[in-house]
Amino acid sequence: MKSLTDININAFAEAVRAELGDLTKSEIQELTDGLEADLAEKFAEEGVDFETASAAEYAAELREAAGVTAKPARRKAFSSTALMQNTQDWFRKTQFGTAILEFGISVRPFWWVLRAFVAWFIFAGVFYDFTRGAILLPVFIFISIQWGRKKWFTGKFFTALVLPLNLLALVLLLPAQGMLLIKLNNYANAEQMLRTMPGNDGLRYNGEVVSELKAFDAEGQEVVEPTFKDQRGNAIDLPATQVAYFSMPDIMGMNLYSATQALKTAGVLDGSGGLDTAYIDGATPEDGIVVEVYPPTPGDMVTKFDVIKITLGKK
Amino acid sequence: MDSTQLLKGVLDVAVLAVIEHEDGYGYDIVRRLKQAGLSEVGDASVYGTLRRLFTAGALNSYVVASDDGPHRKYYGINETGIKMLAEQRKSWASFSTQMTNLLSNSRGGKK
Repeated sequence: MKSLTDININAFAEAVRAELGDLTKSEIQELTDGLEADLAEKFAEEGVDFETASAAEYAAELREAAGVTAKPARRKAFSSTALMQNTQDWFRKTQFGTAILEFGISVRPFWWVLRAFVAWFIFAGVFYDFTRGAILLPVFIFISIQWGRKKWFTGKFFTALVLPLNLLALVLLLPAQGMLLIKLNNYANAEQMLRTMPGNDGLRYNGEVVSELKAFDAEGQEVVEPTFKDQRGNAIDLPATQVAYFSMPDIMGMNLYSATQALKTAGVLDGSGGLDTAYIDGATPEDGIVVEVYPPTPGDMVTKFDVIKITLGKK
Repeated sequence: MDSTQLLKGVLDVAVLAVIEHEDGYGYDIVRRLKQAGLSEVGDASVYGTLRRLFTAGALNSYVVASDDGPHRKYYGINETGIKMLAEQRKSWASFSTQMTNLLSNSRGGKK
């Protein structure tokens, strides 16, 4: 594995070669043959005090030593490689600038990971969802690191892309970070909702939601309004949302039997709610008719646990 | 006078001279030149000169492994290099004498 020093040396050597870009490939090869070894030797000799000249100056010295004059510069519209090198040269003009540059170079691996995250975030956001796309994140990071180490994509085309893509990643870093925070927040909220949502996290038995739980004592007598707690002492609430709602049928004018059947058909009378009947005007169950249903009124949503109050009178 | 410009013309002979009696690797040769008073000599100039002299057949080269650093490429002068050095010594002696005379005679200017 290459050390950071090796990476820096390689980067500098590449910059020197870029400065010689007006020469032919064979000339560049001839002038820079063994350049990395020379730089490594200089580093080994000067240790931590290693401060190399700028790539432009180094390249100029190589030209002079080889007796090769610089060819007239062709006007170039823009060269990202030259811009990066000029920027580096500018930093190297002062000791403070060199220190900043060296620090920047030393944290490049962190940036390689960060830009991979941005690229992955956009890619996964467009083509996948983030959960399924997560498996691609290590791939993006690996590619970015290999590119950064100049192991892959070393052609001129890709080299020219480095600066624009890095700038793009830098610009998109904050939005991507913001979107990630929003996503994480959404996940957290969804998780919270799932945890607190009645019915989805309620009591289950054999895979089914338990919507009613009764307790009986040793004598088989039902315990009235028992409370249940889990292993952590938290009260067990039955999932209220699992309780079905039914539309109250219109039972006005029906006799008690017909009304009961109608309520059963509507699903209202399947539970423990039952009927609360009241008779008026001396009516009896035998001759009673429904004279009033209140509450609930027809069309109201009721559960089977609601008590249906009906008032019965004579026909 | 900018000695850097003067140095460019004589770097070949300077490099040949410092390895005439003892082989050396690139950085070592830079150091020898600086110790000899050529403090403004640049690393790249020396490395470039070594490569050019090697290509011209004036130097031999071999690599020596190092336990505590990179392998070092040593350069040693060969027969061609020794001849080249001898010729350049003569040229330099002649040139420097002429220049010395020129500069001595011109001291005080025209009468």
